Amino acid sequence: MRSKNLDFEKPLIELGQHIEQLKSFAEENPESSIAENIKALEADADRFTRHTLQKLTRWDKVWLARHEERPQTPIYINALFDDPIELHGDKLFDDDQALNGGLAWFDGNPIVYLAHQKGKNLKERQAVNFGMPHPEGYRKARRLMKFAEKFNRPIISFVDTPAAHFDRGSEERGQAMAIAENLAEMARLQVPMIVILIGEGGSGGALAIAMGDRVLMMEYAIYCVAPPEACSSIVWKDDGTHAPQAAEALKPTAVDLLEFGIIDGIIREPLGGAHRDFPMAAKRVKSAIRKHLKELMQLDRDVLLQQRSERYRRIGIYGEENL
Amino acid sequence: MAVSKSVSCRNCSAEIQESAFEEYHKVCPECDHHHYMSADERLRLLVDDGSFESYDNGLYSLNPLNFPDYEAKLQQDFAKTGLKSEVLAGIAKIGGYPTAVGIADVTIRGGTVGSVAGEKLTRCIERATKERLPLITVSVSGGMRMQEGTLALMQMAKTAAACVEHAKANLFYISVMTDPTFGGTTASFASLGHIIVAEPAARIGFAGPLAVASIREQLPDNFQKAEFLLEHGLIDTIVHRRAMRSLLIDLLDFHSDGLPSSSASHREI
Repeated sequence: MRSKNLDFEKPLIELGQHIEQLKSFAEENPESSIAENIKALEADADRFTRHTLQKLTRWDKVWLARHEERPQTPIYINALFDDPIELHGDKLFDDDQALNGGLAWFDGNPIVYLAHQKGKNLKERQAVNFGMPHPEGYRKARRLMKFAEKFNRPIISFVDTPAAHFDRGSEERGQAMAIAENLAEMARLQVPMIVILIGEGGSGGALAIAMGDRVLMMEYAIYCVAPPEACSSIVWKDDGTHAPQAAEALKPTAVDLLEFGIIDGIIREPLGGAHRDFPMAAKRVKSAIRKHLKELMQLDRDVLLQQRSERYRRIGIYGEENL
Repeated sequence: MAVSKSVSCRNCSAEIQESAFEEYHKVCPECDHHHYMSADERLRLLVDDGSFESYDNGLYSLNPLNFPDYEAKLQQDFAKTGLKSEVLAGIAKIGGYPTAVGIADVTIRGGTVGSVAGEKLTRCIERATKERLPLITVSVSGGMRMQEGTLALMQMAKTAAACVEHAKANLFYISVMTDPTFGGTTASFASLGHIIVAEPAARIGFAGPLAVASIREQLPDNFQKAEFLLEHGLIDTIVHRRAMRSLLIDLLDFHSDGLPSSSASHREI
């Protein structure tokens, strides 16, 4: 795990601290004319921050998506929904803590939520297996999808996972089958589903709860077929040293994926990232959910399913010649 | 007289006369190891002679991500094999039953699935739905193709959705998994067969070899082999390559609703 602040963030944070110092100096010394200049200084600092962010490489964005301070699903759920009630377990084998779900109210309307859990500190992270679900997590998600369908409630799914877990038990209990069954479930789901990628969208482990009618991405989230480190080992046959090149090559950012028609929208983050101003981030997520949910709830079921089917049918870029 | 060539078994190193190797469908007569088969060989093994009509061979890969060296590597693979297209897809008769078939080939980028394979399989499944045919896929795949990034990942969703439409129409799908079947292929259409059949000792799983190498727990000898999956209740049956066609015909027969079977002699290959 990297240090709390990423390299490109350090000057921004220092700059912010200097401005704060100047502000308190100005307050303590009202006779000085510093206060008048602080506004201009703040505008300059914003410009500098914007400039820094524009220069970020895809590899930088991978680390921003994994940022230790990045808001995780529990804080979004608390900020967006009222009275969430977590529902545990797959009712078969286990209660996988890496993938939670339950019911809650959004703008007074009942919804079912699904959410990867990454944990804020080492102890939490170990408890939730670093956000990597076992098959039971996906089976819990599936039973909650069926639950939502049975009672005609929309699903809101928050994605933030490095990958589906791999170990002996996951293979024994059919990790691949669990994911495949979720894809089939989401393809036939009779209720609307909105997906929000808030951090890392790690391959099949993400897709297993992400085949919605609308897939939205936070500005600095990523979504890829494999983590850049793994891609580096597979393609460059090394120990991950080509991860920065892999991150560039995989085109995993929100802007890339909007262009490929894989996501439907980007939720802009506050300057510097969602962790710099969470209330603002949550507000934007809330209004995005509100907008898309309203659209989807108005659709006839047949139209909803037809649109979802077309949405996924279209994805792919290839050539075709007449033989 | 030409000197008869021999091949060496990948598993037990037995020297096998080439003619015998072909006759045994590339299964080692000594240790029963099932060697790779090309999609064409697989087709000849499974479908009625001369009954296959292929579709969508005009699909070809682009490099939508501008991934370094992707085109060159693809060209290399195609040149090496002489193949024109990845995944054989079409309609054939199997024991007289018209069936939509999609057969993968491991030689093109390890049988990984990108936009072309995803599209071809999806059209194949859709054709089965439209023409009310049973579907058989034969998988051999290293998972989703890195060089097509998230576009490749999405082929899981696309093929799975097509399988759902096929199943909704009460049509029958048999998924045959062969060595090796991994990653997103196992985690999408290949696992959605009503019946899943594997070849003996085929490596099948979710996590690929690099991920498995990092697992620090004791793993059983048959970890991620067909027998391991059978033992854990994940697949329906394992069948020897020489009996595969016969099993498929029986299964198609079981689901045929009284459609005529070509002959009673289908149990012999």
